[in-house]
Amino acid sequence: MKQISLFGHFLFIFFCVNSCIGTTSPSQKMDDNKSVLVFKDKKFDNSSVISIMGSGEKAQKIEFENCTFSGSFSFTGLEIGYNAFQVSCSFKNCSFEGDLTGKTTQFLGSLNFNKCRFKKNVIFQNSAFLGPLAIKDCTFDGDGLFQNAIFFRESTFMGSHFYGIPFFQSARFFEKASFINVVFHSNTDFTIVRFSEGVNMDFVRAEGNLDFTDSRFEGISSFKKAELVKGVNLSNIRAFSTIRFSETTFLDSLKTTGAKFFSEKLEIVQPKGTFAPEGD
Amino acid sequence: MKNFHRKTLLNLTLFLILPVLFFSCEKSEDIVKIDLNSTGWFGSDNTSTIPENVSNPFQGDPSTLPTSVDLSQYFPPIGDQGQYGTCVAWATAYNAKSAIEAIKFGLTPSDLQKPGYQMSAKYLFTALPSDKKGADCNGTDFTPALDILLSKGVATKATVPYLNLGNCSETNLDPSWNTDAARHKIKYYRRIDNSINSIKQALADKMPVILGAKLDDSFMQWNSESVYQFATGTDQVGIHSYHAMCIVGYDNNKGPRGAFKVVNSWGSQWGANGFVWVDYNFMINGFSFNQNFFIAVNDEQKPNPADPDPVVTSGVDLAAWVDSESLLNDPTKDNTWRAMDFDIYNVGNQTAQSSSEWGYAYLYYDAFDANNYGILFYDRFKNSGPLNTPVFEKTDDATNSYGFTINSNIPAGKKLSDQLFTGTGIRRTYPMKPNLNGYFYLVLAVDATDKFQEQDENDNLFYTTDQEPKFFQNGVGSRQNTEADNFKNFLTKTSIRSKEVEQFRTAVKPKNRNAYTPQEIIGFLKNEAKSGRLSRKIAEAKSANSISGAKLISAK
Repeated sequence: MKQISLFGHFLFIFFCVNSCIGTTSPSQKMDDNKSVLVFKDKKFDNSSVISIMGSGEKAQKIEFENCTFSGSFSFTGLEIGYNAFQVSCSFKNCSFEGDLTGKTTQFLGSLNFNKCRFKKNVIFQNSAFLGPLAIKDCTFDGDGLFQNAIFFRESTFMGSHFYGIPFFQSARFFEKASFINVVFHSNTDFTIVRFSEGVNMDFVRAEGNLDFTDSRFEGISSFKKAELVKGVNLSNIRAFSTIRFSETTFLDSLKTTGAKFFSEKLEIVQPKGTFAPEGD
Repeated sequence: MKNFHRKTLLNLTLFLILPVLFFSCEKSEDIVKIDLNSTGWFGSDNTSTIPENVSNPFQGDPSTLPTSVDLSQYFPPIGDQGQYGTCVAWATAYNAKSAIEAIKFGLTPSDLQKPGYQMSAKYLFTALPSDKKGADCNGTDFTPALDILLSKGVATKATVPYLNLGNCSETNLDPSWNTDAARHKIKYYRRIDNSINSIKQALADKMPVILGAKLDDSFMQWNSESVYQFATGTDQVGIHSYHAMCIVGYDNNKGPRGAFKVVNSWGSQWGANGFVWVDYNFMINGFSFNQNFFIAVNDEQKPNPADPDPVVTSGVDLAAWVDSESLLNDPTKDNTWRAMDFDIYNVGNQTAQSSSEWGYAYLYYDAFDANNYGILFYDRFKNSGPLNTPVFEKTDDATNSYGFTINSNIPAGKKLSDQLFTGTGIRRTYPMKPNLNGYFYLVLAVDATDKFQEQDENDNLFYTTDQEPKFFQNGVGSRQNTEADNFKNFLTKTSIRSKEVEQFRTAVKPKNRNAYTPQEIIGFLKNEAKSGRLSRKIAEAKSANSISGAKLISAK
């Protein structure tokens, strides 16, 4: 029995959303009894996903492709209290002109952003991601606010560019966190973060400070071939597995003041032509 | 199935574990639990009645501020308020006042270990009137606490240690403590602008910034060197958990976008050895509450009182004098028109030359924000035009401002009316600003643009609002037809250097100790003049039409 069949008995009524600029209704796809709402090439003035779906909507997944969200946009439309958002969401080649807000929200489904552009801030403070989170090849023009977020499943930000500041303070990644090939154009905050299965920073380019102060590394973490232009701060970290800097380019110091390595050591394999990090 | 079970399990447990995860810190073995009562700021100060620090156009440019400032070397060891809601006393007395004295006297960290250099939070809290604080040493506001520092001062911990609090009733204030307290007063306290640069500028000027904050759950058990930068929730602390602390420094390179260093009073086990770094933006937009940022300035007690009646001061020394200021009794003018009978004395030993192109202004300023000020009239001196005959004309082509131009010198020991009207005094008529609303001071300021280097500048000012600021409603409206709202000086002109006239030279009165001092106003006007903003104010005050008919005549 497929898990999704439990939800297969809903009657879905689809309608065109009034504030959706365009003349066509969203298309409906039935995939193994799973209902999917699909919007393509549209511009939305709506303030939330919920308002786009409509109050009676029971779709399990909603997909946006080549869409533009003109103002500040949220998932639930609710600003206060802890909210639950039950629908899986996928955004491909979308542009968010205002803030994208999902703070203090439990995301029960998966969230996918592929080649999207966030022109203002992306706000997921105090949120919990129960499904996988994938933000791939996206551009953050503003800040990425993920403080105190809990990532229960694998989460990836692969290939994305952060022009604003990514804030991950006090976030918890219970499965692997992947930042492969990410470019951090400004300072980055990973302080007091818990990486239960480590973090993959391979091929990352960090042009600002990369700060992991007070963070906890419980799985193997890797910075293979990363280019770390400014300092990397591992002060007061707790490392229970190897943190591997393999062929990593350091252009500034690596601070490890007060760091504790409980079982494994810091592995640093320098590429030719780079200087050794000076330490503290 | 595996995924489904996993998801279901996560759903079921989420609501149970989420709050715990939200409010826990990583280094659980190091967590310091803070009693929720250990805050103690009511958060109900009326900041609109606390004077705002006067701005300085030559400061606050981010490019001229140091990259980092750390005043923590001037602070006593990290304090611990324990279970009592005395944070305001710790922030204002123990931390801020101890620090500004340490800065003033150049105390070392070693000195500051001694209770004789640490200001007593217990004294301050005990000295508060009973109706200004909670029972059982539990809570107060900044205003009453800072007012105690103004009026009584604060004893040191050597005199009043932080012991045996239990009952903080004012009746427990031992009178013998007051002698020590009187040696540690502040001169005034000011609200500062709710901006990153204003706070940084104060710190760069070696002024600790007292802070009122709104706490959230994560702050209660903060134990990181990292930068505190966002709010979690208030499930544990409640939505009205306000706390007083002190900002001791800043660092543009701390955290992703710079941070302020804040000292707390919860012991050195809390935070980063008793401190917490707070992100710049979060400080302004999330952490601070209701724009409660204050600075306090030491009372510089002079060992010997100044001679109230020195024979003469060297150089030019201009002294303002006003006989009266009242509604103009002229049927041809509307009721916005008023008249001031005044004079300007040169009590120095050199002639005030018109070629110095000095001037005098009658101005108003907001009693709680002197940055909100304006000019009612401005007349200038110039060594051109008819001698000793004032001419009403455009005084500045660039700003289109009008006033009287006077080509007169005032010799040493003489007054302006001696030159213009054979010593009868001068009457200047002017229209009151019709839309003036709120509490304002009115003051005649001579040499407003600071052309002379005077030995005594305090006598440049003469307040016509007397004992306290006047409440204006639509400008002249609240003052007209009310004799009490007019100003009348009952002193004789021979009192120009007497001690009695000093009452008109300052807005600081026993009933209003925290008013702007003459030094602040004079310094403010100097900077306004240098920056060109004063000229713009003069231009704003008068259009050619609104002052047509202004007179500068004999007061006889």
